[in-house]
Amino acid sequence: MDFWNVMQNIRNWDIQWMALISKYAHLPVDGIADVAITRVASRTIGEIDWEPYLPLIYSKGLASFELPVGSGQAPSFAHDFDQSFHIFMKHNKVSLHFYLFILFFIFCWFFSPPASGVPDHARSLHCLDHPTRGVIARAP
Amino acid sequence: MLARFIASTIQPEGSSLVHLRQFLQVIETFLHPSNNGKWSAGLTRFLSSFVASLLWRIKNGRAYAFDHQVLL
Repeated sequence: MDFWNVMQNIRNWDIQWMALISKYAHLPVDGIADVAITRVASRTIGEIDWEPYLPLIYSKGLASFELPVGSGQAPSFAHDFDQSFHIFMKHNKVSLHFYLFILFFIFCWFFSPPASGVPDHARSLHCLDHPTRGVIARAP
Repeated sequence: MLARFIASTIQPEGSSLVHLRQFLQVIETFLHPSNNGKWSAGLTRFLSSFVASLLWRIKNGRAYAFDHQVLL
């Protein structure tokens, strides 16, 4: 949650984080990644204490609407992703395991039907570049 | 997705309703017809899904602690 909190808000990136949280919380996740945490919440009403996660999820949810508050025009997804990933890598020592996880979730997102809404596929594929190079660099 | 999550995490106790109230206050001005923009479609879809999700939750019958007066 701390990692997610320090990262810039990007709707598609946030979806991957929500899926990761569901996975690491050992919650009964099924279905595609972008609805994982919602499925968990809707199937376990009253059973899971979401209280610690609510401020972050609400703020990320609000940011996903890209309302023109404060910073004005929102940059593109690819630009956001690149910037956030670089900032994240700069501040956190990341293992090969984590790189592979990120790659896996990005691939899941690209090859799932909702990814057809991505406006610029070529630029989005560019997002894969950094994690892939990270995997190659850290591979034994 | 967010709408269903919010509807699922609403509880009479806790801070979920406080967060929801703040959330709705923030988006309220962006729903005014004169404040139209690229966010309008997303917000409209969200509200539509949220209302549907609330109805789903009530209909589902799992909201045993869901006090309607808390929302009103």
